[in-house]
Amino acid sequence: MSLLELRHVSKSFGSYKALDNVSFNVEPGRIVGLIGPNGAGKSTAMRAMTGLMRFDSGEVIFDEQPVKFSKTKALSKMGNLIEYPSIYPNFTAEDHMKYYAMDSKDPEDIHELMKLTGIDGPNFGKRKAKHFSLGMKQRLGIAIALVRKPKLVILDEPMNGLDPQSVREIRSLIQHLAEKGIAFVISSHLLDELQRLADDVVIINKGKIIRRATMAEFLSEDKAQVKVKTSDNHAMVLAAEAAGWQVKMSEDGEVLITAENGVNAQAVLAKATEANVEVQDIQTGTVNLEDHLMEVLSENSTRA
Amino acid sequence: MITLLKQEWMKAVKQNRFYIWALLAFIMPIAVLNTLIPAEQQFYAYYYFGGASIIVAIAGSVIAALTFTQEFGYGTIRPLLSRQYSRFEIFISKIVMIIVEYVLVLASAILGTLAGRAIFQMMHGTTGTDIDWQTFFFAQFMDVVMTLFFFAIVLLVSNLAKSSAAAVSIGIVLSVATSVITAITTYLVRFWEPFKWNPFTVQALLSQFNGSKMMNFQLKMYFGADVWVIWLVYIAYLLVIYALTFMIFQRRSV
Ligand SMILES: Nc1ncnc2c1ncn2[C@@H]1O[C@H](COP(=O)(O)OP(=O)(O)O)[C@@H](O)[C@H]1O
Ligand SMILES: [Mg+2]
Repeated sequence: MSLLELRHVSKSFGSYKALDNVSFNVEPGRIVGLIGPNGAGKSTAMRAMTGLMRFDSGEVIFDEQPVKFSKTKALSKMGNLIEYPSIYPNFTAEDHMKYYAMDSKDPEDIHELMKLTGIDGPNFGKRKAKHFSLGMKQRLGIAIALVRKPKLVILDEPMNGLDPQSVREIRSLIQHLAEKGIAFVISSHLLDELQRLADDVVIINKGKIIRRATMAEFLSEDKAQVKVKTSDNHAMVLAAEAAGWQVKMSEDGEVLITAENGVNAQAVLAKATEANVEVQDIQTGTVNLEDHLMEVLSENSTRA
Repeated sequence: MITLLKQEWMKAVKQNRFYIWALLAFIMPIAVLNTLIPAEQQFYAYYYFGGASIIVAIAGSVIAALTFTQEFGYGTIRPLLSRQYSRFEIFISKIVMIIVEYVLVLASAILGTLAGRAIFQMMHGTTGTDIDWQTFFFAQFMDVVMTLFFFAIVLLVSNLAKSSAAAVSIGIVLSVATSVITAITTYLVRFWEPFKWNPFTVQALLSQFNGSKMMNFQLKMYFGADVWVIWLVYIAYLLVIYALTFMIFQRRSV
């Protein structure tokens, strides 16, 4: 039995389908990356998982209980940080921890957790949360999500507003907790951010799940690519397309040709000569991750 | 439920510092009774706590208005509702805490008044400081019962508006402008007699209830019904408004 299951969850705002038959599972101790561009429906899906939003159809099961809008006992074992960290401006970091720890008979050791999440320094201390920077609030929000010893933690774009150093710290904190058996659902619009963190990927676009895979599977779809710069890129693209190759233009004026079905630098050079195009530069390499994501997303929207 | 009440209390103290209202309500009667009120008017001044009754009323509306709207404003409504509690428990814990805070501010005004009276007596002897304890405390009890109506309206507005500013201002207007609203509704009764049963008129007239035969007679004359019927209608209005407010709160996606 999965820890969390979304089964055919749909939700419309007016005529706009923000969630369209969304299904995926989260297994105990796994880190699931929910990835999609802005407006894809990540936060909306998370609101459905936490019982904050009514949805039109489908169901969410957490820890073998359906997550209901009004009351779900199991939610005591779920922590969340959705969209933005919610703070009481006059509370200190420690006040927040005490406040949310009350919810649990067996909460985390507050001071330990504050140390672990890096909200114990002199920057925090007696300072009220209204004076915190976004990054500090973000860390506090993560600490709040953890204080009840949850089985599942839902984090919506948790790296937003964090400097690279903090991103690394939060990432290793999440990994550490996942090793102890806590499952995570973490959303991001950047694949790169979750690439080294998530075990599974769920890619969402326009309210639809368009790919579910383990991160390893997803990354192995990485394709080799031939990049050429030519005297006449337009003619090059036409020639490549005529040959049935997957081709597109990069922003910096290179022609990118996906290397599959025997396409390699030599074949591309031959094709260029055939088309009377002068090649100024040619490189082979792998598709970068974000490009791969964009490809998956655009395949989906052309199909839709 | 106990946990929710503890959490509401923590917010009342640390976030909203309601004790500042209590402190003001305590100091004001001491100051006013001993500087502005002559001996022959002392007796009357006790009933409005030497002016602090305005503070109590405003504190009540601000506290009631902020209790819900603040959570929407800070976004803390999400962690508040994505826990193991039912929305009903959360709703009730908030109502209970509003009443607790209000009663504490009121009690502080009463204590301030009694302290002000004692100081006045030490300085001037006991001239004009008679007080009919039973009437005085009955009036305070009635105040709490009648204030439940304001809370109901303020909470309804704050759950509809979600905006602290709107809820606070409507709350303050309501708590200060009772007489105006009553005047308007009472005026309208002239055009359509059954309109006298509107909640504002019922509340306003019932708030004068003091148990005396004279007052009971006047209420009966106006409404053409026994006093207990008027009480029942009042309680029914309260229940309906609170239930409506809860339904709005209950249905809201956040
Ligand atoms: N309360 C709402 N009312 C109307 N539209 C909404 C509401 N919440 C979200 N949406 C719409 O649903 C879509 C998905 O939003 P969201 O889940 O916030 O995206 P993401 O978190 O992936 O950036 C967006 O087009 C957004 O405008
Ligand atoms: Mg979002």
